Amino acid sequence: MIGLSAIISVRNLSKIFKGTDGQQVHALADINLDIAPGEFVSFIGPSGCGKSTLLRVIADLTDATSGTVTVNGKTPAQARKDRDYGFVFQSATLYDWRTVLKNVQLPLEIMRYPREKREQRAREMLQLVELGDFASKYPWQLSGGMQQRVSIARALAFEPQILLMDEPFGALDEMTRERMNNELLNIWRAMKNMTVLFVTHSISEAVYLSTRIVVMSPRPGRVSEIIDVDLPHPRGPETRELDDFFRLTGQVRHALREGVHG
Amino acid sequence: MAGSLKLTPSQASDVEAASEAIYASAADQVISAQAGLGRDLLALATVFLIVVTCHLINPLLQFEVNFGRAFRNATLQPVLAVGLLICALMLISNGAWGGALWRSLARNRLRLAASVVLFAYTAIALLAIVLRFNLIGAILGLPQEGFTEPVSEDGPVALFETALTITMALEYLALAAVVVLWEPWNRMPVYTRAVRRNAPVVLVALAVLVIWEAALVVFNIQQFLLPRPSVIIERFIDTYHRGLISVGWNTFQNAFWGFVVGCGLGILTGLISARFTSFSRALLPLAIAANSVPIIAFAPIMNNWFGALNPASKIAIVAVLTYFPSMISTVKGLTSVDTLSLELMQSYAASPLEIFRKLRLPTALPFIFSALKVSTTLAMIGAIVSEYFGGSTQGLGYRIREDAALFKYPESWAAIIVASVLGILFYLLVSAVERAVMPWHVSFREE
Repeated sequence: MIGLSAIISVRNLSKIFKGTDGQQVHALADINLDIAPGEFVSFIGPSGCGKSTLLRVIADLTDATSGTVTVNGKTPAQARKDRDYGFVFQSATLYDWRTVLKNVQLPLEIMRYPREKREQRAREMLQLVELGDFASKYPWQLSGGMQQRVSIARALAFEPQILLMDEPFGALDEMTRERMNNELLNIWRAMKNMTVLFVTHSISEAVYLSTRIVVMSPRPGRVSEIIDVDLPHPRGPETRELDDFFRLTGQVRHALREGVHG
Repeated sequence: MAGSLKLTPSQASDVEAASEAIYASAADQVISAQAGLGRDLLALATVFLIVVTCHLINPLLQFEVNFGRAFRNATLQPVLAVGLLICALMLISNGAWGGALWRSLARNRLRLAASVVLFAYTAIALLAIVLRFNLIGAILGLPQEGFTEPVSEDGPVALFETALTITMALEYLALAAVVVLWEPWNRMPVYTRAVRRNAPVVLVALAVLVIWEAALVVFNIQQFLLPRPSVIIERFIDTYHRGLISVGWNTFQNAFWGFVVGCGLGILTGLISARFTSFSRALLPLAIAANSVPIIAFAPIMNNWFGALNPASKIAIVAVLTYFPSMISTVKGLTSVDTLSLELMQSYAASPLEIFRKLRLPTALPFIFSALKVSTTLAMIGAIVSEYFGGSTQGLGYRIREDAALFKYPESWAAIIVASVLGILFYLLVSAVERAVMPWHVSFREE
């Protein structure tokens, strides 16, 4: 998965934050990574390992200090201008003054889709996340899980090639989270060839969702191990009972511990 | 989840779905109760405006009845008529427009009839007050000039009385139409709840008035120190003869235009300084320094610049008073956009103009409106106090000062009541606009 076949290539990437007192924080140190089109890659690691920062550098929401990121043969800035990215944040970040339908339409308005196409597309996306009946509601009328589903519908509305998710289900209870995991997998399978980069704290979530898991370790933030997840698709509640599932969660847990102490 | 209770995935999703439905319907109920309360106020305002305009379109009422004379003011009358038009249209539409409105009216014949009656009355009132064409007079063959001056003894008095009867019949029909459209009988539970909730406030207010009245009698306090409430109310009703409402309207106009100029400039410069930080760094210290000057002290200077009788001298004071709060709130609102919302826009590669229109401005609106609401009070203060330093005799500030100087304290108090009522109406007007512009805001969610 190196070279031309990669949709995202990260080479020797470093990011240093300068504190106000002149102190330097090494958020990312010499990261190398290649991601193929259609992969579902999870980033997992303790707080401060730079996994969110890596996602934000790839999304061109912050600059790298050194090294390069190539997306579809372009710089991240160009990829962002070409609207290659859909971003889902930890909080739903819906706009209070827009109804659910209008929130999903927001990126389409900015990307100048024609009016009818906008509405039709937004309704399709709401169906996809099973919120078709809530189109005319305002965000505050929805529960946290529903809000996050709206934000996923919004990120998918313009069919981005790459979906970046920064701990999207971190604030949800376990039951809702598992349900959202299933929905996300269905969506990923429905959207052929969409690449998903998924930052999480949860080992079982990472194993359940991903085709590959990037385990990171802190101070300085670096990749300590990359684990291939060979669980069969389609996955469902029974996947969580498989022996391979337990083996993989154990492997990730071990890699995380190694990363901290090693 | 407790160990003993293990839900299957499908059961779990049922639980979530049920809680979602409860969520949404509870929120809908809050919204409909809110909309209903606005509708009560709207219906009451329409009733009031129908009664006032009825007094204005007939000379036998507008020149000879106190209530009619109170509203004799060339600029106030068209505003009242247009206000009636807006209220009537809102009452008829009930939130639906175009085809949806037409279909809902076609379904309910009674509502349709009431809408036609109310609209017809409104049209007649508008014609008579704004275009000075009295339809009823024209049908009866009365000269149009007869409606703009008192009816003389030797004129066609009997015909004018017929015109009056027709006008009043139309008025009663229009009032009945309002009640049909309003349907207050459907909202009794809401009213009883409102009465129960607001009863303490009303009781305390009444108690204060009673104690005030009693204390003045018991301790034999002189009228010129503090008049009894009953005397103030009596004098307030009396002062119709002196056109207190018309006088109040003149002052209100100064406050309103000063408010428009001051807040308009404030919002405009706020927008510019939020966009260009260097501009804001240069302007903000100056604005803060200017704001610490007691602006009212400039009133004599403004009188010198624009002339004491020129409303511009009063408007300028109000504009300077209201400028600062609206400017600083606009800057604060535009710059208090949260980081994630901004990054979301950046991830779409949105242009600065789009970020402004779709994110910054909606975020700033609540800030701007709270400044505007504060400014209504400031504007009334500025307009009244600036008249203390000289100006037209047809202003509230002038009346308060003059009456006090002549030991006519109850009259001063009556003028103060008019000033407060106008100030409250101004505030409510801005609140209504706020509600219309941003119905989604947090402050309108709680019951």
